[in-house]
Amino acid sequence: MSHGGSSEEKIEEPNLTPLLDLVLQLVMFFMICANFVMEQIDDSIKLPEALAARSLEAKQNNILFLNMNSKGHILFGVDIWTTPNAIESGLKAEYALRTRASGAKQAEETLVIVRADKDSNFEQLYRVLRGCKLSGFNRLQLRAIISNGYTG
Amino acid sequence: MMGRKKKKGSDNVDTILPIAPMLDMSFQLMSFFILTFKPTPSEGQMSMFLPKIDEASAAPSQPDQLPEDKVEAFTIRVGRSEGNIGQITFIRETETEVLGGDDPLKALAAKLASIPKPAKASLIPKLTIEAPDDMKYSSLIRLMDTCRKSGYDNVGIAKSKPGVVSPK
Repeated sequence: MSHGGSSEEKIEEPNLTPLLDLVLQLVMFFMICANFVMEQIDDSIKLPEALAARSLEAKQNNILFLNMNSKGHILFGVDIWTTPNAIESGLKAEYALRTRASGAKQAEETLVIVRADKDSNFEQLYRVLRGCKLSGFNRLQLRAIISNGYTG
Repeated sequence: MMGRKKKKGSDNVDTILPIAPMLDMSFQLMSFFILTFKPTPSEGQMSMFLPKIDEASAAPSQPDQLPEDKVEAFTIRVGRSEGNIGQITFIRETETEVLGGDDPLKALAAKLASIPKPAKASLIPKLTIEAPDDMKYSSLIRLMDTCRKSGYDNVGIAKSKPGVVSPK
């Protein structure tokens, strides 16, 4: 029994489905990373360096980031608080919001991390910290880049 | 008797989904996100405390503590130096010392290292940094860093008291 003169050619195609799956996983990773980073970090703020700064604990999730530029203005989401009154009222509003959302105890335990530009001055920083205290936030920390040595 | 007629086109049709264009588009997306991804330097934080805001809201004074349980408090008063760290005055209950020299931070680190620390971590003295208004945040962080590297984790900041002239 003959099968004919021409031999059957089998065209083997690689299975692209797992590769596509992996690529989509990578895309999702970069999309999610970009979102989280942009929410917390403002590139316009240059932090100073510190050797003794410690990384955030993984279990800490009740955090409020305050970004302060070199002029002493607080960049809070889309808002910019420029005057001391605006800073104080903004912080009070945020505290009230957190109290309504998760209770007074949770609001009080909020960890406020101030990311201030290295060229901002002490008076501007103190004004913000004082505003936090007056609003009810008691846990305050200052942020810096963890370094291996001073560069200047 | 009507025979069943086989309808034309009722044969099973295998649909093949072309994956290659989807994969191509996914690579395009991934390239975009990889090129726009900016790894940020690792950031850390330093805890600190603020002294009482005003006398009216001051916490009631602590009951008399036993001498061995008393937590000492040091004050580091920083002089003006155009935003940088000027001359440092180290104030303790029993002494006041001006730390000068070319490198006030080094002098401060040496001073802190010379003070024997208590065995209990809870009794390590509190440090309060009194800084001038124009001191830069980077200078403050350097000061706090020096204190923490010397083993003093309980560091607070305060404004220079009115009427007290900071050393220049």
